[in-house]
Amino acid sequence: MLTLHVPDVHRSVVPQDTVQGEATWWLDNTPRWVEVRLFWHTEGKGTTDVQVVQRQRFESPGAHETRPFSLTLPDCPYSFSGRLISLVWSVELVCSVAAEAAPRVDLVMSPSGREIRIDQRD
Amino acid sequence: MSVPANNSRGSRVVPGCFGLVFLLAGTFFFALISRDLLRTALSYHWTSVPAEVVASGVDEDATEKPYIAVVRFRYLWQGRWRESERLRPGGTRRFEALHKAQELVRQYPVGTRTAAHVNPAEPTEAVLERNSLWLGLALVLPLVFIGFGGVALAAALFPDRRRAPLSAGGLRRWTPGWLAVAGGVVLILGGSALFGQLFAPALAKTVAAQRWTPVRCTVLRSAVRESHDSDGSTYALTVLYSYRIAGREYRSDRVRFLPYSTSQYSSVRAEREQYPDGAAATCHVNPDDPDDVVLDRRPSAFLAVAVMPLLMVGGGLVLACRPWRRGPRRTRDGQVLLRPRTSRGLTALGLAGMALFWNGLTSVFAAEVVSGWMSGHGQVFLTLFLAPFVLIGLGMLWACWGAIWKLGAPRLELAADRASVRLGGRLPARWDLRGRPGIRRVRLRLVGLERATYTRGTDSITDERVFHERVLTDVTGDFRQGAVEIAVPHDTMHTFEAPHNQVRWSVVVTLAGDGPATIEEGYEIIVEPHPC
Repeated sequence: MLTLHVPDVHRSVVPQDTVQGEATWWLDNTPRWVEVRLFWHTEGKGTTDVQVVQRQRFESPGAHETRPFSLTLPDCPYSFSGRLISLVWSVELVCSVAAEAAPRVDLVMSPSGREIRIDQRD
Repeated sequence: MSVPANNSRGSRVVPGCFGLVFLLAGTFFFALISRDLLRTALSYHWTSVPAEVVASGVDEDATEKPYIAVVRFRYLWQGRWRESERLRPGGTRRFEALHKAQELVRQYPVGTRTAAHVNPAEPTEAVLERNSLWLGLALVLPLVFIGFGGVALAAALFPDRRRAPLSAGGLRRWTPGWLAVAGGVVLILGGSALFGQLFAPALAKTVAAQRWTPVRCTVLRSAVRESHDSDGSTYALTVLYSYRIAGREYRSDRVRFLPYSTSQYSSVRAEREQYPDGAAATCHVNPDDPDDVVLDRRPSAFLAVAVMPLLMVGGGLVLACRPWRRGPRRTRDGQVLLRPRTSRGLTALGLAGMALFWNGLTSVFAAEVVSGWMSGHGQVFLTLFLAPFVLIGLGMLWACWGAIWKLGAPRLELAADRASVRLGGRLPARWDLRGRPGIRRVRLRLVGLERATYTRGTDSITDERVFHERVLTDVTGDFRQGAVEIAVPHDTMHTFEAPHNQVRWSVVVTLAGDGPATIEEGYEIIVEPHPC
């Protein structure tokens, strides 16, 4: 079992902010590696683009652990939502042995802490 | 949202079988080509010794490939003269066409002194030429088959039972720049090889033959040769003719420099009727080499297909040079010249290339269809099938004409202190009209655009949507220059570029003259995020 906890206060962030949280895993076997990834991806009509911005790998992970993580956001791109494309920032917990979906927490990053809306023409 | 791996056994059988077929076929051809390449490489370690050609000519028998190129040479090995008739390792001496055997023999007239290459392990094995090591390039294709087949087979045999994390997509991305360069290099090499091997010799000969001497010749034998393959039968004209130069009789069967076969039997038969057995005709002889001759020296319609490898080379150059775009151009006073996203010249070149390629290919089939109707053997189905392709070709020609006209049309030069502006910022810019007069209205708009590319079936589709548009200036009259202020809203999205999704900003310029035609071009600007 893998879980990711990011407090609400860290889910709406501004550029160069720090995202902090806790990663918990409870596995049958000791994994070779466990990692938290900060990345953005696109959603919508176009083929999905993904860019991993930062990774934090936990050294010598045990089979059952909870560890804190801290990741720093870059200047851009901002989270935005249009009619064709949306850009979403996320933090995902991945490990070498998990057989289930990687848990993921979505964030919003922009100077205002709110998603930029370009779905209306102005 | 993660991407689940499809693990059911049934869904893995078909891809696994395809993978196995590709893997086996690729391995087989890789082994074949590697064996030949190894033999070729080993021959480069053979010993070179003096040699002399003692006999050179073309023999004929009654087999399917009746013309035999005979070049016999003697070579000196350890103080003893030996003889051989092998020109190159594994090379063929038998030809279906007389002129091909003659071309080979012409390179080695009797008395030629050259070097022979002798296998030191087997001195009776000696050749005059060695095969090219460029054969190694042929290994690329079976390697692609092996790679594709191996991946498909591995995925079928060892399915990933985990749900693939979404972030995994970002970890496996190729660097677009190097991928473009690699793709460009492959296109350049492939196009050059195709053009050099298939078309360049015929093109060069066609040009040279326009100065050759017309000579009276006699048709010895003409026929329509039929060939069968999985797609059906094709037909080609063969004509054996003789001519005299300086009292000596020569023979050849070269009809044109780029021979072709066609499924239209009637057109080949009609052409054969121009060369009945025993008839007199005119051939064209190379004044420097009486053996070099052709019956029809007119450029073949099939030479139009030569555009295809040239387009490959052109496309490869564009692709390979793309990562190394030069920096922004500047005016004399140091301002940055904003550039249109699409160059008029490249657009015209691209459209011209496409129109040439499309119409070149289509015209070959259209000529056959027209020839069929003119000889009373028109085919309705083929005509109807070809009609849409011809219409598309005409449309391409029209678009090409428009692009070429635009090359000479006035253009607007847009200059600013820099090519970027921050969100909420303002960028003063200056515009100047260049080119001939006649523009009566100049309109500049700031446009923000979403752009998404996706695959539908085998097609790649790109959708665009304008999310911001504001008129910067709209002047009517005989103005040749002006100034604008590019003001970007504060609470919108900055420029964003990803392989399939983009947010782009541009200044769209519309120029209208006295006539109905207008010119519209977008000048890219970078909108940067707020400073942190």
